[in-house]
Amino acid sequence: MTKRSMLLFIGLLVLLPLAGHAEYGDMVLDRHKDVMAKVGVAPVVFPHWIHRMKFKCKACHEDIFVMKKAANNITMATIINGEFCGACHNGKISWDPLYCDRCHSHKP
Amino acid sequence: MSKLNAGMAFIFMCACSSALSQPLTQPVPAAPPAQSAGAGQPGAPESQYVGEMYKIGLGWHPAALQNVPKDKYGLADWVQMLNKGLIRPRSYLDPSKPEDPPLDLEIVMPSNTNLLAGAHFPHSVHTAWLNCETCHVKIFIPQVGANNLTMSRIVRGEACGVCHGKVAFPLNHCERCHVPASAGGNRTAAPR
Repeated sequence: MTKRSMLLFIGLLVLLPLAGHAEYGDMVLDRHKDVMAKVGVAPVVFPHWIHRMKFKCKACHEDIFVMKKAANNITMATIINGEFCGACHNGKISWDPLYCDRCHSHKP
Repeated sequence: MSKLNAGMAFIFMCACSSALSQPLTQPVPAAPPAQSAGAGQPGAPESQYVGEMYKIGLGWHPAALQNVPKDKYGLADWVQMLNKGLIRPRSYLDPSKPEDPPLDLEIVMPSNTNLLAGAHFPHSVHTAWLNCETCHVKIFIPQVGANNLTMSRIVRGEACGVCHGKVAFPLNHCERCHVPASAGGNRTAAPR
């Protein structure tokens, strides 16, 4: 390893943690990113951590969410109908799906 | 008489116009200040709708993970948090449904190399979070020797790698699986 690449590597090690502040198990849901861009919202970040503080994995997996990429048809329509996120985010178990920026919060 | 009528009409019109200048319904209350519970990250753009959960303070707490136990990689140690009772996650959306007891069954898998100790799989830790159907039979066939468990498959996100490395502790934490099995409990030797 040359001195220059070594310095670059060390620089990356120092800078990488500063680059983002994502938490453990954060997922970016951007399957419908074209539609999201059209209506002017960012892709969704799903933070596992806050959800598992309140519910065990089995509360959602796999009755509500299948643990496979692109296997769940999550849209605002299905959420409002009480499916997927809407099983809890209905204003009863958790807050209602009215705060667009809380979920549509991905910053590339 | 006509003067009186005109006066009455004037008073009536005044009353009407003052009623119309008032808003017909109560306005939606503004979002609480950023310091209050559930207000999210200070300065973050928030929608102005105020939901029921927001009003009673059950909102978003981004600072919640700051003081939890961490593993050697600085990631939240969820097993410790659960065992110490720092979090009390519910098993079901319905709070009246009782919690299931964990399954005390440890699977011991001998290593096929002499480079590393064999792996152990404690069902008890996993059933504290998951139910049987989450993993069986889509991810693991509950039969000795039926699952081709290799690190290369796990690294590709199959088998244990469905969760480990994503929402459970990462794969570079070798010694959490590759240790001699713990004493006690029901054990089953399972050559992969």
